[in-house]
Amino acid sequence: MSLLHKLFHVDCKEANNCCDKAQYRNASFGEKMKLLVHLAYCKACRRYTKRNRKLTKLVDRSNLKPCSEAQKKHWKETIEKEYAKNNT
Amino acid sequence: MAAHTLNPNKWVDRYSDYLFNYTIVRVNNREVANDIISETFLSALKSAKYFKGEASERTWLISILKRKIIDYYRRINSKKGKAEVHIDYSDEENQGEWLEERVADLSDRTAEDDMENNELGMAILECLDSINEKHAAIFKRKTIDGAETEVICNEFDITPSNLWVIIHRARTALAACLEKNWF
Repeated sequence: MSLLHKLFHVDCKEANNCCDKAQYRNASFGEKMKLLVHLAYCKACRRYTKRNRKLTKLVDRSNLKPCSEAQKKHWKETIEKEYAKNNT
Repeated sequence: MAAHTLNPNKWVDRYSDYLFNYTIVRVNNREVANDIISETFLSALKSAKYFKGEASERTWLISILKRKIIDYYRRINSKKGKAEVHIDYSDEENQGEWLEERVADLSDRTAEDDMENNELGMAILECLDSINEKHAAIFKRKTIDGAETEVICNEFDITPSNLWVIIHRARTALAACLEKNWF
């Protein structure tokens, strides 16, 4: 077993977790290394990683815009008020 | 028998991201979009008694929203002293179709790419509709809003490892749904 392997060996579940974190730039250096070492020998996780990256690209391309939380709260209150008015 | 029912108290949680992203590419202004959506919700509440349950709640809200967007364009057009809205039907087949159905054409032609990407965005939100509601909400906070892990954990009272399990499930389900419906 190589030194890399000894230091960074993880199972598929953890490798996928590192991959998910990497999609949000939340993976530490160690986690990225763990993922890379795992991917070197695991075909299933290579597939998952490929798919996961594609999803990240699609979400970026979709340019979905967040709607402000304050605005959502305002809508909720308006709806509650109106709904109560109509149903009393 | 009505297949669909209305739950106004859930509207914001369930559909506001969808309605907002639908509107923002068409009016290109946050405040205007927010106002149009407020009008949509109010108008929907008023006409809730006419909801027959034939369409899904979201489809029904979108149909009201489309009309509100058209009203908005009529209003700003008449302010400019151009009371008439000219819509040219592109071909024979489409003649006589309702103005409402052609609302997408109000946007700039050069913005076609934006529209296609917006459709992708809509497809993503539609897919999220079909997964666990809490998972979808957490995924949106993390992925679309870009909220920090800690913030989301506080909001939903979960641990970071819970969060990553939920994100993993949401991403897997979303990828499968998009592969089915988008590619």
